[in-house]
Amino acid sequence: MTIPSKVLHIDLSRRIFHVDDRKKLFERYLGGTGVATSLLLENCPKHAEPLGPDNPIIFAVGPLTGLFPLASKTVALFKSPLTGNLGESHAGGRSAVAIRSAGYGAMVIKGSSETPVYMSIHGRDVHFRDASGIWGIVNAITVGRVVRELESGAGMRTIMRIGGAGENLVSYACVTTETYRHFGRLGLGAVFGSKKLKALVVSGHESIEVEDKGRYRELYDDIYKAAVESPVMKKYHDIGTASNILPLNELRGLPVMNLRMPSFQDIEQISGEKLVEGYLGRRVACAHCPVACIHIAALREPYEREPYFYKTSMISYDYEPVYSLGAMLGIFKIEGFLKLMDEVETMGLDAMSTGVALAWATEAFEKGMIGKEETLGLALRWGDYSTYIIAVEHIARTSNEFYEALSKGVEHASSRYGGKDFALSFGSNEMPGYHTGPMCYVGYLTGSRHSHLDSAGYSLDQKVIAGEALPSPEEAAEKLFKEEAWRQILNSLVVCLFSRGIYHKDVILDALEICGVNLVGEDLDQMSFEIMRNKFRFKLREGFNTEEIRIPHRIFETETPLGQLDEGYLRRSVESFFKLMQCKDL
Amino acid sequence: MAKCRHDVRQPLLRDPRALRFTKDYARRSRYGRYRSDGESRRRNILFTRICDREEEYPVREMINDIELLSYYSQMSRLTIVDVDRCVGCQLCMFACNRRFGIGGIAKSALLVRSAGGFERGFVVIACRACPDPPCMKVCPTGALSLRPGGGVLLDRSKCIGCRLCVETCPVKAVFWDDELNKPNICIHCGYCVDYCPYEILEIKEVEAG
Repeated sequence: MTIPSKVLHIDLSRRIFHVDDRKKLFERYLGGTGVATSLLLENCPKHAEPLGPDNPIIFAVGPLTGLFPLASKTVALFKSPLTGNLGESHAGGRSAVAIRSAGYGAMVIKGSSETPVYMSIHGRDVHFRDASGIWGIVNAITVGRVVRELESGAGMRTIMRIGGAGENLVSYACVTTETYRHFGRLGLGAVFGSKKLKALVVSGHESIEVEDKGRYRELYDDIYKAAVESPVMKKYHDIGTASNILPLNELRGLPVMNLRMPSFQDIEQISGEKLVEGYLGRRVACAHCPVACIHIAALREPYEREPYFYKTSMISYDYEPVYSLGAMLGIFKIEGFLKLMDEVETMGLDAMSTGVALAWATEAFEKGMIGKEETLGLALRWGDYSTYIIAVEHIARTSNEFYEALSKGVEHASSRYGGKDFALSFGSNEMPGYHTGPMCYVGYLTGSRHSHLDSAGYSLDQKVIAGEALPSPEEAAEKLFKEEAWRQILNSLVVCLFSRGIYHKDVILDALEICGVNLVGEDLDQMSFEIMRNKFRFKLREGFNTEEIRIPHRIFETETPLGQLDEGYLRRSVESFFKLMQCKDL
Repeated sequence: MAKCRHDVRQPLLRDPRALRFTKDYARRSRYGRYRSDGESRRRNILFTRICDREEEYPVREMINDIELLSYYSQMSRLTIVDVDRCVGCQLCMFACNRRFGIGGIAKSALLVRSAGGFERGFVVIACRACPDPPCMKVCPTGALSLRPGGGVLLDRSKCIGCRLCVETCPVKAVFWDDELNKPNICIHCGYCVDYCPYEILEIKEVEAG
């Protein structure tokens, strides 16, 4: 088998499964997001309830998975409980290689179980296993530890699972895999929870054949060499994504305290460099990735009541959690935000949405829109991480009406309690950590999943900061559109976006040839637009309205590195983006 | 497809390219690891030449051929230098499969797994090249024979797939190929070494005697 083609369908309601061969579909869209989008359109009925049994979960890997380095991501598509629309989330770990080794290109999980289950998929062996004994374990790491002992395939498997937040249907609950990697954004964890699906184990022992063995080894060596010698990759290995903290702060593009400020004076205290020097305990990699960007801090704390006794927690950090659970909440103490991250990890929440939600709540509390009655006695205060840790638990447990509202995201909470102007979400998804200029915001507003990773507007902004002329709103829209389209190919292959500099068009065409897929550059362009349009079709079908775009006023109050934002620019650019999307020929 | 049923060593030794390969290989094992590109590339091409003769050699024989190569690196041994540096990327496992020109990790003769969760680091399980291998002693068909540098060589035509070797290995370094229903045995060829970005693996010379 050179390109994947098998799709495993699982019906949790009836506890049955079957395998389809979808060779044509994989030939048309390669895999990953391209195939998953088609499967979502096929399997998700119109206006399906995100937390109902009809909402399918689609996992897909690509033709390069298991063959080439850095092709280590799995794409998940579903209808998001956070936005009520397209949900797309990617994770690495061992998930992709495990799914491909099990012989599948994609998996579709439908229905919902009456009693808690976990799925155990070892190649063609598919088992529905009783999870009533582990339902209720709030700690996602513990769930992994339990399942690990129950299942075979150590080193060759992925264990996806949810924590307490997923069980309690928090709209931004994540699915954790291999302890530190997540299908983080848009609430896949809640969809798992709604299906009473506690965990999913996949392993397998299938080899992947190629067309030309000699050429395969040669191209592999070229890609491998490019990966280990690339300066970008070195940066991600050495300091990790947290290396972005200082430069973004210096540019004045780092959202601080719910974006009341674009930078913080004493940022050195929490820089990536400080974290590595003082806390780095281990670096970890996804399967088949030489970079090892996953940075784990070792936090050693004394037990309060026992002298000379310490516990060491291994806490994964990245730029985004440092932004959302550090800077955004005014926590400028490494121990503080590490503990908060640990709590968020344990509960199985998306770090970004949780941080932005707490930042909104803190400001609402300050302004008297909510009081201690709502917060169950907590006085939310910038920098007070101990209080935030308790608040995180309340969110994960949806302890009262207020926390339940907060567990549905800031869009929902602010429509209930007020404070829309400083509720920092775009398309109902909480904002990422870039306040670099107009184009990052156009990207958040137009991107199919309202993420910074859709079209990387922050990178366009940074080019302008570096001296390029600011493009017109229409030009900006076109640039973002092209970037988002191209990323559909990367996400169909599925390669890590950090390696986008290595996987340029020629390399991709060569690699595909080795998999037996002969394409030319224009085919890829055509395919990229088609995939993007398929997503847009789904979004329109589910009620996405290009006319009603809410832009939180806060972003106009705080200056960006490119000056005060102009609402007219943003709106015009957004408008021309959607025009491009509907344009027939591109 | 012409099968080569007799001693598979013969055609290989007669092939001048294979002879050059073995010389190259022997030199490599004598001087330990090297990373120069030219060398890697040459070795790669040689691997390819052998693996690509698929028409003459069905998969099983092809694998036997590669195992034969270990005769010429017989006094070398794969060792794990510092497992604490391991990031768990499994590039060594993928390399092990790529010897056969295939992707995935199903034919890997070494395993990187977590030490009970990624938070606890990794364990690299590889053949220790025992001088008196337990796996060999339990093989009921004599498919495993002693490799001069320690460890074993597998004769696939004798193997009946009973898995006794897997069960017996105390470090669990005999892995299973579900597709062929035969064990994956490390031949200490060192192909994986060049693909470990963090220098955890090394090929070392075994002292004679």
